[in-house]
Amino acid sequence: MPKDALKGRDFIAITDVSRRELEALFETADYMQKHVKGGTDALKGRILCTLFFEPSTRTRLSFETAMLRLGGGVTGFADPSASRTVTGESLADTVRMADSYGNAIVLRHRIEGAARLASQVAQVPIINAGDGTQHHPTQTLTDLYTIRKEFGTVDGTSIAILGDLKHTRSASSLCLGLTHFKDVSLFLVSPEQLRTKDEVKDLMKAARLNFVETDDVEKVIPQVDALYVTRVQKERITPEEYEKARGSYIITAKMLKRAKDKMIVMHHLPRIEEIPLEVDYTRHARYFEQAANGLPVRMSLLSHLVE
Amino acid sequence: MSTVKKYTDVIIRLPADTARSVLGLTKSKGIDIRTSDSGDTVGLPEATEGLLLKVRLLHPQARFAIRKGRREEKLEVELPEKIAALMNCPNPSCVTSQPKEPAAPEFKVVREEPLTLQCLYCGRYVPKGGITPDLFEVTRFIPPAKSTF
Ligand SMILES: [Zn+2]
Repeated sequence: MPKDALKGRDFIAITDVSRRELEALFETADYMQKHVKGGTDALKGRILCTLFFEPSTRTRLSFETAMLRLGGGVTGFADPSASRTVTGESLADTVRMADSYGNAIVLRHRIEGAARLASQVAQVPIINAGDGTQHHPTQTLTDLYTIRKEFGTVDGTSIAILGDLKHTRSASSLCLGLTHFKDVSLFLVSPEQLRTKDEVKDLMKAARLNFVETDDVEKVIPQVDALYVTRVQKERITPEEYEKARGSYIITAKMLKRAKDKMIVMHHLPRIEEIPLEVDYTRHARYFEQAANGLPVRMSLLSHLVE
Repeated sequence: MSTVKKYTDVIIRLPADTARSVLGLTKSKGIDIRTSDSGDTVGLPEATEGLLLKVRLLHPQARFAIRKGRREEKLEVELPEKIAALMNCPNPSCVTSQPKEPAAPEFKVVREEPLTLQCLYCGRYVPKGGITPDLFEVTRFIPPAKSTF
């Protein structure tokens, strides 16, 4: 068997991997799907360090469960006050310590570029569990896997991303992830002030990914295969804009009546009010499956990266 | 960033009322400043390539020349693909803005017109009008650039 090109690599941005490598990750995720309850011993004896300088229970549990299901062990912290803020230690020094203990490090940090710096000081693979406003590659891997599972491929699908496209890292990261695929039609639906950043748009243009920016969600719903919902936070825009956005960016069962039969509604969770309970009972809701897919996807990623 | 390359008798032509910003970038002696309504002229007996690059970034309209006796020879200050350890990132949330972290600011020149720089750590574009003299102040230890991007 040829050597796995992903072995020992960092995973900082979704654009760090090639299309071929993405497909390999998805195929392994299909295999891991069968082992999410029984587990495997693929990473027996290895240790994953989870350094969560910013709380994210969902992502951390998903990584830790993935490592345990692969037969490995986990260590780390979920509360930054337990380490850095008390002692005043730098991120780089904390990463160096974890580097000497573990076989891979999962890092979540508020500081932008934290994961990139960590990858420069550590020998073991660094997996970015979210830093700044652009990157959340394992969320994107999960999102793309969910779309692929539903439609057989991501190529040729029509996707809408809705909400705060400026500040939501999973939205930016998904835009970047979609640049790997062919003939995707992308609708970016947001209030004017919360449009996708130029940094992301320039990369989509360079990759010839077709996208349209609009604020009209009702018009977009009948056209798409997947509707990816994110939350518009009150403090990000003016009160008037927020009231307007609130009305149009809450997805109701009624709005979904005009959707394609097989259209799926996705959300990275936790949701607050943007997807009311009633949507859970429509045939479109797929966010719980999406969240569940995070486990086989992270098992796949760890099994490829960790030596 | 190579700052070894040096030029002598450099003339920089700048928009009016901007010459002072150059003074803040260098400690060298004998700088000659002439101002007029149509623009400022700065004469530098000696200038490193790094200094000229800073002026170029600060004032995209700047024109450079070398004085050769009575003649002037045009000097092209070209932007490299990457700008490393020369300028700080204006984003306070960037890892390179954290005094304790060993990250040397490094930028990619995305396009020259209009000048767009992207920080290779935080990924942000330097906003329009965001290159200000204070970004060139060295206020802390800057480790060598990694250039692993
Ligand atoms: Zn930066």
